[in-house]
Amino acid sequence: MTIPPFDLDAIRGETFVADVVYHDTLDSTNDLAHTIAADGSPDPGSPVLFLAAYQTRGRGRGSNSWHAARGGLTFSLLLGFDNPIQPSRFPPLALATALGVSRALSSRLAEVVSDVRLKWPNDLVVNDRKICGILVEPLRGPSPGVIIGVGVNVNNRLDPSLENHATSLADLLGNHVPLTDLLIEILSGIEQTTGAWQNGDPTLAADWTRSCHDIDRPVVTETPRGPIEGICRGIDSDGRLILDLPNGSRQAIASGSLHFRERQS
Amino acid sequence: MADEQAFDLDKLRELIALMDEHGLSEVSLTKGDQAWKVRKDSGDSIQMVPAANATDTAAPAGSAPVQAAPPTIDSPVVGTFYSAPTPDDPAFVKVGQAVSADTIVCIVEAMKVFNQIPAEMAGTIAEVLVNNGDAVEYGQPLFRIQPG
Repeated sequence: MTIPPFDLDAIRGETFVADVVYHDTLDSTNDLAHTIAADGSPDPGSPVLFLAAYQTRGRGRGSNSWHAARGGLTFSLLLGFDNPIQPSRFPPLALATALGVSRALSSRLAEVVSDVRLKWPNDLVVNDRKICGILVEPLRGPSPGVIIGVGVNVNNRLDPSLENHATSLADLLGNHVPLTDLLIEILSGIEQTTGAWQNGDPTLAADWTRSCHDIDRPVVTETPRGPIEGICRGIDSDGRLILDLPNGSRQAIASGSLHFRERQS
Repeated sequence: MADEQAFDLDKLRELIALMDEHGLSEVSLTKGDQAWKVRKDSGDSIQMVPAANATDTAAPAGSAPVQAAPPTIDSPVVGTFYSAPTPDDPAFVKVGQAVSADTIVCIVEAMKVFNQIPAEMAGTIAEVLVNNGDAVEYGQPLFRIQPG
């Protein structure tokens, strides 16, 4: 039997999750959470954490996969709600989650980097390199709830093909990071910011614009209808990217990706 | 484009009162070269959107016919419409297909959140009003549905 790289009792005792479902290896923690949620309504007051030491098929946005080698942190939170949530509220939940994770990572990295930034719509980056991805998926059945998937590069070795695009906490700090401690810090951050989201805290939108990696930069957004170029002016309260276009108009973009540009050497 | 200044607010109030009286959630109003559609959502807020092809449906001057619009399944969020779970899958629904309130009819993606949209009414899909990959607005009709 493989010894978990996590202290599951500490996670249960020191965080807002009511239960932890741990597997050494999983295809995808989000998929397992969907399967469990389909068997019964999630309890609104009892978030469940799905945790894996190793994900073989962690999903990123769309068909992208999350490279989750051992040593990384990959988990999903299943949150139930008393009442149905309007679909338009889920993108802000993803951003709120990103803020929560960002605060925990910023605290860890305070001595080595100036900032963890939010890469619209659902990534965190340090020094232009991705360190965390977030995937929010509303439950597929009639029960009101959501699954928040989070992947953080911690002690995992990064695929060489991602060298210019990804980084990890261990790389940045130069030492191994205890996964349980980090997970507890991240869950604490998520508890705060998702609580603020649930309460309709109006300051959240200002926080995610302040954290926006591309604020006031020229960017190219790849959308399903083609690329859109403009100057990034932030992220609105609905979670849309605000761009000032070359023709002087302002556009709010709901679907798209800001791709990493090759770093200049 | 209709001139909003020329629109008769008293007529609008009358229209809303008629909706309440007859329990209607959506009506179309056509007057001269103006055409407006008024829709009440579940939260009882009222949206007015310019109706398409106003000049095609213009009624004789001086009349203001009120008619119940065929029910539609509307987008609950701004985003991108997807008719199938993945490009390799068949569409969730097709014209002529019977649906129940829980039947998933499409996905609307916004900021990488893929919202599966249920029909929320029983009936038969009569028309698909948008194309796969289209940008859709909040409240935009996606499907026309024949109740039953």
